[in-house]
Amino acid sequence: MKKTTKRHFTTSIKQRIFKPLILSIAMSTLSIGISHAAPFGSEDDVGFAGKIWSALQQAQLVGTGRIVSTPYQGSHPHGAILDTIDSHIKVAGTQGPVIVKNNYGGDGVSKQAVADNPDKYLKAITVMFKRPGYDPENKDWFWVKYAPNGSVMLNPKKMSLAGRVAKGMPQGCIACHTAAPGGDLVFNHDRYAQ
Amino acid sequence: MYKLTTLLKQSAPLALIILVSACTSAQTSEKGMDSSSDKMTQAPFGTTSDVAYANELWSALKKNRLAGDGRMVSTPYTGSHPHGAILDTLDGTLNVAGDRGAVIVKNNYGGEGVTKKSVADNPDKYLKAVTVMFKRPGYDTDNKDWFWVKYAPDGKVMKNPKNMALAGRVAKGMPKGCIACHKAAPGGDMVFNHDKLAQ
Repeated sequence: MKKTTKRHFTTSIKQRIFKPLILSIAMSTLSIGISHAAPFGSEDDVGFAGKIWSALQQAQLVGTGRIVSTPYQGSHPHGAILDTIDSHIKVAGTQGPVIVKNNYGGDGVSKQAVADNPDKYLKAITVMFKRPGYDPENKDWFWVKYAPNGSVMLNPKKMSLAGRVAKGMPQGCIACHTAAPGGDLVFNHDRYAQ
Repeated sequence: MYKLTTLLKQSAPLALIILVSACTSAQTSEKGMDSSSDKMTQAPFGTTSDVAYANELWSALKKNRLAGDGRMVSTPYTGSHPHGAILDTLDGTLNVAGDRGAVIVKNNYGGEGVTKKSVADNPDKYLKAVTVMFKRPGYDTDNKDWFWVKYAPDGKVMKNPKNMALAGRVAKGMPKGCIACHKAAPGGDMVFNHDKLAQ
């Protein structure tokens, strides 16, 4: 009888202390797993964004001496004035469509001011690159927001804006672009819609 | 002897006539060739060398994906005569036959059903012409050194109603054409869209 009680006591201690401990370890492992599988902003994502930037530089689509198109009126969250170019680039051995949107803003920004001095008003470059197999649910787009110097920009939570931005979340590239006509996540045209 | 002298005397005017007429005809044909080749070299545009340079320019544009298959396309906007109902214009820098200069590529869209949206969805379907300005150092100092070309979508230089190839200083000294109209561009750089290249 005494023995049984002791055993019962041990079991109950085990249950009271170890179970939650194991559970909390399991949960923290799971949360590490979740943060590792973040849809964007990982080291790999930032690395791939660097490769896209190099390919864009080579194609004269970004950086010094970049090609500029006719600026037009844009809107939030991009910029007051935009200039968007569609082309094809090869990134890490993969050739795919790319859309480069130059986001302009700042004091005195206007279509004419940007046309006369694009670099003065350039605030960000937002890029979509179609990366085969990367995100089939969202037409395989890889999304990036670069600063004019090519570094990947961060969101307020200090996450790098590169990758599947922000898959499964109510805000971000994907959430908004899902509304684009044609179901291709591209607002300006349906050239890539099937 | 007498006979020979007489013959010479009698035939001298004939010989002279033959000689003169031969010279004249030679001169005429030479003059004819000269004047046509003079016209070719002095014409402000459309010469053989202008067309050859335009072909080099097209190759450089293709290499940089600014023309031809898989070309880059920017956001179409509403244009006007003589370019097109809808336009898409790209500015870059290009190397052409040893020259390096600014280039402006204007894709001219038209045809039935042309709109900004229809062009954005299917640019090649509506592409009618590609008009290009390339800043060719020393080429035309009176007009900011622009070399002007109008290409068909396949890269062939298009012609005006007088069958002149639209490549070169189009049409310098004339009341119509690229230069005449673009002289009105603000900034004095012959570029309407911006003054990026104005000094």
